[in-house]
Amino acid sequence: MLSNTNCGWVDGPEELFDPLQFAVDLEMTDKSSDNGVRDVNSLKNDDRVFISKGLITKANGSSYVELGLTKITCSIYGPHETTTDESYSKCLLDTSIKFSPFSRPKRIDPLRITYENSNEMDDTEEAELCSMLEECLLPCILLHKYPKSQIDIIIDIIQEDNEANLLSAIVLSTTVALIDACIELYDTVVAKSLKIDSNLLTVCYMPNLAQVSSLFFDGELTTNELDKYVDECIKQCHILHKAICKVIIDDLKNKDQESKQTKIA
Amino acid sequence: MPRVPVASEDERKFIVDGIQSDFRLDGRTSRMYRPVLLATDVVNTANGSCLLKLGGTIVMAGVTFEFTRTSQESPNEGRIEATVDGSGCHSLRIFGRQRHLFTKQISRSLNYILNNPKCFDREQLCVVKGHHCWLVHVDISVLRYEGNLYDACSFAMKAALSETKVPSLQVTHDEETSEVTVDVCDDPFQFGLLNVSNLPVFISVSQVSGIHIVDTTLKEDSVTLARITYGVKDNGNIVYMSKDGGGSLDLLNLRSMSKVASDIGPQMNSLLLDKIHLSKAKQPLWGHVNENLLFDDINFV
Repeated sequence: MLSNTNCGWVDGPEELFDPLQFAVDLEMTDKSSDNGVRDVNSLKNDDRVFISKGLITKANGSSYVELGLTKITCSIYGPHETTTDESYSKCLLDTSIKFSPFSRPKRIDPLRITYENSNEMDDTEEAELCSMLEECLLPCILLHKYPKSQIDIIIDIIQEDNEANLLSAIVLSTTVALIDACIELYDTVVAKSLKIDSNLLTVCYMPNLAQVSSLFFDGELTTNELDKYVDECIKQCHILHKAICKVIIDDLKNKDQESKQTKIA
Repeated sequence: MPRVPVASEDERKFIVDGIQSDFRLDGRTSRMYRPVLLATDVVNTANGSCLLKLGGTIVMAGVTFEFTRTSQESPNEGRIEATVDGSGCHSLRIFGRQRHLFTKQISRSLNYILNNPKCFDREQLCVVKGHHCWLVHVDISVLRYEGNLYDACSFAMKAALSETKVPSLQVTHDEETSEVTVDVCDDPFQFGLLNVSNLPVFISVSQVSGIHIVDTTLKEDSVTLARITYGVKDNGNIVYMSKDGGGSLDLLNLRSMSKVASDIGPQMNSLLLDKIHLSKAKQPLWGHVNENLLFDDINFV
């Protein structure tokens, strides 16, 4: 057999770590289903969260998330060679978000022509969510590790409960899918929206780095009140982060056990 | 946001060092805006218009009225829409889809503040409750781009809307047939004005290596890590907030940035109001015959 250095191929990284050494056991009193977590105690009934990954097997990474009654699937294809020539030094993100026709009480016409240049307010909702999602993912993915390539993120909104939960659920599902696709990340992004009176605040937060990756606010508040809202959002983000960690660590342990069993067999 | 590649690492360092010593490329301090020049009522065909220069960035805003039916969800409110168009502007540096996404993002932000009931009272656009209302188009075109398009667009929109002449109408209600007829008044000197006193302006605060600066130019944009655009009312309250630039921020920075925005917002608001009043006074001087209007700074206030 040729040695690796002779033929110029490198099979893997020089250092190898057992991924389980990074995993910290989380103490959460909840009922775990086979591949997900239903967190009932720490959150209110309409903030119940269910996360599972590996739903769409053909995709590089996928996830299914329920937040309250909002149900979302996310699949990730890539990183693969880019089709556009916009950027070569960094990876390109291509997000597409689609509402299913039955996701709202009022039917959304799937045949509706969604030209980018149309002036209709409704048409831009999907595009708006896309740009928000991209903005909040840009700081967390190691884009320079994937030059000349692109990552396609495809999100289907199966059911929408309320406006406040939507972006939060989208970000959550994308993070889990990115981890499932083994794309290198600085940190997991979690988002939480608060809707109090007519004020809507969404904060996308990276708990381990303690950095806010994106935020959006519509309403009216003084700066002091705004700071309080942001703090409250971040508190909730930590809870969601725990839920994600739980799912991923459980998944990792299951896979580890499976591989051990096959070795014995 | 559009970015120009900076020539070298040294130039980058030069810009950042300048910002850190509170002396930026054009001699401004970190909390200073470039000079704002504006002229209102520059287009005859629009109900209200404004040409605004923020340093090298030039935008033109035009307001037109359209007569429509009220929507079912809000029977006593009119509708208002803002669009931003950068298709004719080569200095915008980004092309194709990216440019479209960038201008779309700005028009979305403007629509958020226009549709916020605490910023703009849409009931003043209603003509007959449950029947007819105005659909107001605020169309902004970018003529030249040298950074900070968000703020320039919001200034131009506020100036144009405050000078907008609402066509006066005669509503007659027929008691027997219960039909409502609306006629446009013949007299062109009869018009109403919109109440835009609560309309906020955008203040974009950028973070460059720990320092928070406002009103970034193109070159400063290329060293900016993250930028938050705040919608600030004249009392300092924040009504809109969104982030761009692709970087992340910690909580301390976030706090001081919102402080910066709520400090500068009222100042810019009052400056803009002064300019609008001055421009109103200056209008009869040049009328609509001056062909060099758009190029001569003398015509601006």
